[in-house]
Amino acid sequence: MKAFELEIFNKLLSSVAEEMGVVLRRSSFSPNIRERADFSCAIFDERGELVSQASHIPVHLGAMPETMKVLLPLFEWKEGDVVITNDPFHGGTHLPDITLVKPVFYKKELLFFLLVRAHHSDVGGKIPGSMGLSETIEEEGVRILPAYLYREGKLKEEFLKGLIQQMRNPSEREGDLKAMISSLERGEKRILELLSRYGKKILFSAIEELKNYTERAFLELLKRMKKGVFIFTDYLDGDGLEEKLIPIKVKVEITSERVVCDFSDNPQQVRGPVNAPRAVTVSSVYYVFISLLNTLGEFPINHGLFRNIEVITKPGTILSAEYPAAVSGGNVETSQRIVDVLLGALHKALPNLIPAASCGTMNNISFGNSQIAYYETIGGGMGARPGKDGLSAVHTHMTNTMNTPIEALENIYPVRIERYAIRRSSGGEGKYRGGDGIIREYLFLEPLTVSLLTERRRTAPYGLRGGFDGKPGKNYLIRNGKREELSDKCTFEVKEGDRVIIETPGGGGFGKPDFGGGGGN
Amino acid sequence: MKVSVDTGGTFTDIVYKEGRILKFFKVSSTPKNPASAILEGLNNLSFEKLVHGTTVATNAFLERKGGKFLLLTTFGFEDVIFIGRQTRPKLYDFFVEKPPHFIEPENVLGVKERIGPRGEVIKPLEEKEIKRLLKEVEFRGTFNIAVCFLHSYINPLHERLVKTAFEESFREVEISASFEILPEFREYERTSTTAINAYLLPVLKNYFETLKRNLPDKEIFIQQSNGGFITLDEAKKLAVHTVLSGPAAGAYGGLIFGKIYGFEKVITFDMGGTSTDVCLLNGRLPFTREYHLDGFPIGIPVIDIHTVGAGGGSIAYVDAGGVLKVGPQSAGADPGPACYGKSLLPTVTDANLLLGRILPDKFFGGKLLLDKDRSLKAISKVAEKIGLSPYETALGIIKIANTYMTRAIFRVSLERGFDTREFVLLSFGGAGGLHACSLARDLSIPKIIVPKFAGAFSAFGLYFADYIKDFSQTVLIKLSEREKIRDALLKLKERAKEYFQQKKENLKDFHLEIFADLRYEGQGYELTVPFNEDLKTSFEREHEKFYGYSLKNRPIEVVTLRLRVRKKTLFEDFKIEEKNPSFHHFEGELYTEKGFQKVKIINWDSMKEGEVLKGPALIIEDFTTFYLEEDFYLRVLGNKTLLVERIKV
Repeated sequence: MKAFELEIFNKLLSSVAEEMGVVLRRSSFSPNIRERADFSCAIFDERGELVSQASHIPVHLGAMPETMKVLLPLFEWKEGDVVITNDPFHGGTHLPDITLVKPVFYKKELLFFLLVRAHHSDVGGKIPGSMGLSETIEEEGVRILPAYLYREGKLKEEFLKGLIQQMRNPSEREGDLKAMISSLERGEKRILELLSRYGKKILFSAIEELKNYTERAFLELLKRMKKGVFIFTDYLDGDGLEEKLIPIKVKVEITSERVVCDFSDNPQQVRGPVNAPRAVTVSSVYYVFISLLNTLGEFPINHGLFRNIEVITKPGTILSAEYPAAVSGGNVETSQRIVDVLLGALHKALPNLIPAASCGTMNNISFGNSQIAYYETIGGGMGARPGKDGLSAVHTHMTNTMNTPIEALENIYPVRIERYAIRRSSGGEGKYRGGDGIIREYLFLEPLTVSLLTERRRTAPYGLRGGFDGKPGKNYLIRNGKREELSDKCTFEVKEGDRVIIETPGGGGFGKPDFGGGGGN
Repeated sequence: MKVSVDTGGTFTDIVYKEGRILKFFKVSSTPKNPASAILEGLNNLSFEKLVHGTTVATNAFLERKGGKFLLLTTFGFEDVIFIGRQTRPKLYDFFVEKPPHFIEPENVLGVKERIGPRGEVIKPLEEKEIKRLLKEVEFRGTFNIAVCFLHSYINPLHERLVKTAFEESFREVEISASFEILPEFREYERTSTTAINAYLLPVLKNYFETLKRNLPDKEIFIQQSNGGFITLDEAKKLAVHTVLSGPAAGAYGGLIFGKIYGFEKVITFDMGGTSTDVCLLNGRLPFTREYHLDGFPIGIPVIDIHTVGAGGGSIAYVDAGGVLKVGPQSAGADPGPACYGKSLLPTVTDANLLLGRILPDKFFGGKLLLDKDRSLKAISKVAEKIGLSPYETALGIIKIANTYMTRAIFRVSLERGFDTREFVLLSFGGAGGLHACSLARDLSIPKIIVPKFAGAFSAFGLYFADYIKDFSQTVLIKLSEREKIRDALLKLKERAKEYFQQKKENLKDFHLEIFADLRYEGQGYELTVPFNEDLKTSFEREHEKFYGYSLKNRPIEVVTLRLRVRKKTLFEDFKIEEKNPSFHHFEGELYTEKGFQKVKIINWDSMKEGEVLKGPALIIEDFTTFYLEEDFYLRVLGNKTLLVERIKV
């Protein structure tokens, strides 16, 4: 295949996944999907290898290959099937992320799988938003073991009804699931069009060549890295139940052919909800290497990238949690710390490409009651880069969800936003400054249950090469005019008139700051 | 007489009519002072009316050369404009940058006031707060003002108070208030739109005044992004409405040109030097409210034109993985493609020249001689890296550029549920004709039409554009509350009436079109349908079309009502000018996938209505070339328009 034909197939395939995302977003109901775009779409081949994905949410995208790996052998796939799951122990991430898989048949032959994963605002459980301080997976919400949602084109209505009735706002859930189905159908239609236009043979040889192309680029990246073993440790603030820092550690081994990321030396899974299923750990590793690859140019993201990356985790540890661990924060918080330790280790191998630590948390807040549930995340400061300041008030690393417009939020929920501002001077000083975090202040207009899952309240995002650390975040409750500091993870009741203020961390600085003043040498 | 002028990056195009004869020509643009090219072009014409499409606003924004202004926001929300949607533009990029901002934090002032989501006043805007603001602005040396308060789309009371106070105190200050610019919900998008207006206002005002000063006794109209024009005086206050001025004229031109030949379903394909604009017309102009100008949202309805960074000047290169890529970097007009003689940048134009699709001595009417050897040299450098011959590489460059354009068309058609097989491709822009057959083939578009004035087509669209003024109002009313909807609509009409009364005009003399943005309660995105008695059915049909399903029992909500006030421009039949052909035809040579091939080269001027021609052939016009590929044939229609179809096998 000629070099330019590859580029053509690359664009054709990635536009299928992108279009799936457009359909989902436009027709969905919850602010979480439609406003914040917290979802992802991808295409796999019949062997379950990633063919293409759209640029959606990193933590989903890296985890979906794991999901596919687990699901593929479990079912006897037939035309018209759709399989549903959200089970973290079957390649999932956390319960709110519901995944649908649809096999694509062409001339009676199974050739592709389409995956769509979306974060639903609530999947039941004891806490509105399904993202709070739980101790087991059962408390976190409905766990959907992999099952047919459609079998040969027929919807399992009773099964679906049974599921969504255990969740808050079932009609919103149903609408969102409908939108996900619609997205799969659009994807199928497009893939079939490609097949009938180019034929199976040409399309599949293009796919294989695209994988090889990405693999070649990855090997090129390895060439530029210092070889050896690099170790780095950083900490989680705690699991929300015990006031104890939790170390997260990685050992990265780089040779000219391979990268091995060994996470086996990590604590046993913990009681609180910061356990990460293996898919989340793998996802964080892929995120880091895709970003590094992009420093060489723009490459298709597919299975070719994964061939020479090995991720070692030990089952039963916090980075490869097993049943019945609570995992809601593993996906959103622990994943960020995994990125921090990987970057910390790789800094020694690629000193000119690795940024200082970013805010290291998604600052999750959810609130609701028995009928309603709302969830959002707040951005922070980006770590300074070699040669560039970090960006302020953005989502970093494993997420890129949008904020919900204040005017949309206040129209639907009994809450008023009183302040939405950049948290000035929260970024670490340095030759290049870390980006600043955000301040968001909520005034509650009704009694509600509120949950916070946040990080970097007790530790700070690290600076690099003499750059200062970013400022840790702060969570406050203001009741009757009195300000009380809240812990990093908590679930509590608010009364009408209570305020919650979230101040998110700044990014670390890069390089020794030059405080001016001249002076000698 | 009326003339229309479209200013582009490289050329300024002029169209006018003498009796029934439609005439067109181009002059070189003068980007530093766009008015001077216009004045030069209009020098020998006598006319009363000028309709103008301009890139002044867009360029000023891209170069961040707008004017200083102060932004007033609700206290506590001064950073909304900086936080945006809290996302980074690229996911997997440690070195990602946001587009540079157009306002400094110290120029944003928080105002103590607050309105709630139902329009209720939570914190009144007090007299002394207004006084404080006036003082503050005076102290800072008075600048133009943008004001955007939370929930002002539902209750503009506080914005109005500020506006009145400033108008009374500072006569020279221009105020852009969000309730007037874009009374719709979503604070970031509304703030951005309002602020961009304030930022571009002085630039446009200055430009328009220069034009007016030089053309004192002419009536001047300015094209907006919605495909219609407004008066120069109106445009001075609505800077943000002109950002897609030129491309919008092209899309509108597509609509009327299609109709002349009986085509309602048209995909316009406008390929220029640095970018390509495409637009799908399904009997009417499509609109979007999610346009982004260099990273910043503009929420006003603009014609839904999809732009990709692939044009004649796009540069080809080989990436680290050994794969050939094209663009989005462009050689621009200066230094330009290698064949212009100033650079060795291998561009799409060089590939076309090397393959024989452009004739070096017939480009731009022969006024710009191209250097084919330089093209060969530039492309050879790329060819060596991928181990192909320069000719094969040139074919590859064209194919990749075609993929980008195919994708752009795909986005506006198949991706939105339109079947390309029902459409005709209307090809224009200087470079469009060289790629049209390939695109039609790849997208299964059965027919292509090409106007003889393809090189000045946007100016043609301008010539026949209508006067259009849009009004909108976010209402958030359940579809079942018919009374409320009727009242809201009356209010909107009242607003339009007042607007025209102030201009001493009567709304009755205009044509009114009403639209409603609807969604299922709980959805975040609306679909716009023409207002009618049975909005439910229209909405469900539209939803089905876009998303493949509808939900029969779910309540529907009216989010925004839209009123479009139009004064139609009479469409008069025209004839294009018959010129004496400088040559008739000769035989040339092309390089295609089959190797070198003989090709007929024909002067467009010598083509006659009814004539049929089989490819391969090059049809040469002073300002454009059409490449009729081997598997296509054409028929010449009236006004020397080419109708191109695939030869059936």
